[in-house]
Amino acid sequence: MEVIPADEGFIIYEQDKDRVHYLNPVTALIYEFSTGENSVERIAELVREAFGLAEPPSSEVGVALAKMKDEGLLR
Amino acid sequence: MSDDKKTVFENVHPDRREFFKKLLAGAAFATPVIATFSIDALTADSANAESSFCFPNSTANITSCNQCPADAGYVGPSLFEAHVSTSLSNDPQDSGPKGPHRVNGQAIFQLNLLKGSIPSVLSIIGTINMVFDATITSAAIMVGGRVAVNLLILGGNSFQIHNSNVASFVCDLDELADLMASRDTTLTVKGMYLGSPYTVSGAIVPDPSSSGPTILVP
Repeated sequence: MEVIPADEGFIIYEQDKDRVHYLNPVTALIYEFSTGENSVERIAELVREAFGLAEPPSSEVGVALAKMKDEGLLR
Repeated sequence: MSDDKKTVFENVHPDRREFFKKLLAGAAFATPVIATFSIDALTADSANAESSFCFPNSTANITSCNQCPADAGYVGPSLFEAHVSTSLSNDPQDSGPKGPHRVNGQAIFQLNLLKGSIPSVLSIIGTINMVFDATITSAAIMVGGRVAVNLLILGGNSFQIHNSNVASFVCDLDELADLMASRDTTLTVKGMYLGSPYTVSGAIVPDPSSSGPTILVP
């Protein structure tokens, strides 16, 4: 997979499936944090810090991670 | 940089820290969006494009779901075209004019994309040019045999489409654009030609010269 930073997030090109994924800035950040070393809770906390939120957006992060897993972007 | 943000960027790959600093500067939290497209849907060379978006009530051969996607945006070609025509026929069921004439025409569709955290289609403008002496009484973009948009023909056979013009089963212009990119839409034009009514239609396809999205509204 080729990750291309763009003006409005990430564009990820999957050569083997000939598909393109567009990730908006929040999703790009979640993808960036998904190194295998950060838990879902930790990623939500980092997103909270990044955007100065009062509470970690755990639900949104969970949905985004599940979607990226469904699309084969994460294992 | 605040201590919080410092922690954030420490968790970002060093090669992308500057990118994320620029990306997040002043950015507000928004619903995470992942839009997936086949390359076919982004080019003019495939008739079998697919999209991961869902269209709640569409009868087109695409994934369906029960609700509109949450502002899924649009990434794809910005210029489309359609060739409409009807062949000469003596079949009484044929809607085309009888006699030694064939009605045909061409339409172009230009998508105006609004730049933002989620690129989206602001409006679609275009023109329909029929053969000389053919008048246009109505035109519509069809999806699965249903009217997705009735085109309000303005002077010079031009038209402009906004979100408010789109039928509810297509959700909005972003979804309509996705359907156009995946070749699930047709243009139907009705009018009069030499005293006879005509109905012509043709598939809406990406213009081969369209290389990708065109951001017209900063």
